[in-house]
Amino acid sequence: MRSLAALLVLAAAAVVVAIAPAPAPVAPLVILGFIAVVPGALTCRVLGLPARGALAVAVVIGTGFAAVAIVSAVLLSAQVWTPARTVTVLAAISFALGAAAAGRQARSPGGVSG
Amino acid sequence: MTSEHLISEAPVRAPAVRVATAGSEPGSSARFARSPDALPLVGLSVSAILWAVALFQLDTDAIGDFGLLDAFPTTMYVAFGLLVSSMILAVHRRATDRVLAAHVGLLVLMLHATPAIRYETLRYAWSWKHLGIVHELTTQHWIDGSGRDLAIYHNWPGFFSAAATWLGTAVDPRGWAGLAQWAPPAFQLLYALAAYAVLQNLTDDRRVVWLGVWLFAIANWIGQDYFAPQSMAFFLFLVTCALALRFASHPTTITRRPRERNSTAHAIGTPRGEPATEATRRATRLLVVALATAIVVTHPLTPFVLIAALVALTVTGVVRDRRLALYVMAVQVVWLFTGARGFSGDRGRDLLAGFGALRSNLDASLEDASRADAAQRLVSTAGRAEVALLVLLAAVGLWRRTRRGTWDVAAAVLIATPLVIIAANSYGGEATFRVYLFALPFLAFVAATAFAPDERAWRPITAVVALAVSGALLAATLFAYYGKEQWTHFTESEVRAAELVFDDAPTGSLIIEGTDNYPARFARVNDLVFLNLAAEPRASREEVVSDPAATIATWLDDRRYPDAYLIITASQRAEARSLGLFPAGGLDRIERELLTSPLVEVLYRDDDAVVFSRREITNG
Repeated sequence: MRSLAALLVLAAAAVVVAIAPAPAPVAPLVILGFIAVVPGALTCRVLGLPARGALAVAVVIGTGFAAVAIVSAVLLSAQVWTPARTVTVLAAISFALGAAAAGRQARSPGGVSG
Repeated sequence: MTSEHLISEAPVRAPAVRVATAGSEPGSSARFARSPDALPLVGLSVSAILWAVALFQLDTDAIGDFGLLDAFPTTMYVAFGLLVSSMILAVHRRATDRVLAAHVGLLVLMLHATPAIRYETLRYAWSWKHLGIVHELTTQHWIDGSGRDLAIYHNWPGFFSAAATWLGTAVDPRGWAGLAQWAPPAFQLLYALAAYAVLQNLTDDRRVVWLGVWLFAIANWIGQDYFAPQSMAFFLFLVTCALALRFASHPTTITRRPRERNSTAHAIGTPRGEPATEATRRATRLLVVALATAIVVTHPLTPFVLIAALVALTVTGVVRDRRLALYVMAVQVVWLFTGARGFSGDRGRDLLAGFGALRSNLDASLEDASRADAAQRLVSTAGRAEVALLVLLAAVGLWRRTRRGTWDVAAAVLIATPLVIIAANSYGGEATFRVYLFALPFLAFVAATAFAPDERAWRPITAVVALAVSGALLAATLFAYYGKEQWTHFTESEVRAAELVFDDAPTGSLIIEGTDNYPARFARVNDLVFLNLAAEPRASREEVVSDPAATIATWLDDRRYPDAYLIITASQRAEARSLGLFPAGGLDRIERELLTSPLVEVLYRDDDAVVFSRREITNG
């Protein structure tokens, strides 16, 4: 549960630095960390993908990159793209995935999902 | 957080056997010294220290005809040699995955982080152009695709909108180049990670997997790792392949004995792991579609290679889930008729015209080295020799494995399918490079099997051969990858000169450039007119060189343009000289004569760049 909370805190931090300007070394690290880890990790967790090791890391990062590319391209096509809006939409998706992951965890035997 | 924690809350079991920590028990130092990791760790550490020393010693002003090779101190070559020896020793002694991974990681950093650490600013003209697109996106929140040069970015915006989300949110534009400089080491590390994830599925022989990743990291010299859509798309391609092979295939079909092609009961050299459950297959389908969608909106070429790979893997029975290829094809078709319909309509006919013209597509891709200087001919030969050596090794590997009754079906299919690129288009003369890029992880894997087709075949002499081959491949890479740095790296004064032009030029101005290789900003490509001297017809180039002052002054004075500039930089001069783009010393002569001409005005001048503009005639 702690790692789920950590992922959601990172998502919230990304929204904060996207909306309110943060110092240069902090902001790019937080945003990049959020994009590379949070959407991919939560998606894999909700889907219950039994990946481990290098494959798990590659899929998490790849899914995060895919998520930001798809969301930003959709917003761009709709002519409503801004960086902050893209981060906010990704964070909203992450929170929804986080809720689904928590529900899945609660339903699984012993409260721990595989 | 470990990778297990990232995607699962399942607690990681404590190891059943307590692992002794250094110094906790008598004799632990002696045990460590005897462990397979000990010597490789020493080699790794000394290599890292030597690299750090070499970074201090490296003088970028010494970059010469062989690029960065002229500037490397001896310690750099010693560091490379020691690292190669240490890695092969680690493979030979069956060191742990962490130690092997550290060797690959250090090699990637030594090859690709050295320029990022030591150069004044971002290298590769295309990186600057791509930053220009990001700049346009963050200022206008739109890519204007009306100009022919920007249409492709407008129709495949995935990478740029993703990069702009990161950079536009977090960093002042003046800092972008400093971050984009780190794209090559970052992407190469991701490639190595994804390549390991893919190759793990092709065999359970750890030596072959790690040698494959090692050869892949060494031989990836073509420079498709910079701040560009191809870099992101290639990483996503590898992740998609890893997922498809791990969860959408039956392990026994990836590698199989000829006589048991239709059997799922037994196979030799197949990876460990249970066949996927229906839930896992569904999850895989969803992730593959998501990754493929990102690839489709990011890069025009990669989806075709991915579709060809998935179709071929399905037809050969490796991928059991037939819907994967169909879904990816559907995503591609939808995008071509919606998001990219402007480009597909306007340029589709050109693209179709190139389809099937195998010979001309191939010819257009092979670099014409005849006009280049001797150093560049050697650089070009080194790259080609490396490809030839790797293909030869792969052929030997396939032959040796087949003789032992193992067919590497998946690897062979993934080596062959990128050839669709040459069948389809010349891709601006880069088709063969892209074929090599997409085939490389699998070529490297099969090449690794040439040393020892299975675990029992590994001997001490095998390690010696692997060391010699790794050394030869790395030497070729150093020439092929670093041999063009004299024009792919830029100085801050070149950046200043370019900024002077692009910040001040009124809309519709004429920008004359020696070559298009300089830190230009692409953001204004739609409102400026460009004239690349090196791309002019031969007669025009000769006219400029024979009488530079009069010809250039006439062009600059063309009143159809509100203003006009000529920019010549050190990187342009180096490119023109190395590739023979002008008659001998042509660009230098143009610059020299213009500097003494009363017909033009010098706006900016230092050792690395000069900018001329039209001389306004004032009365009185």
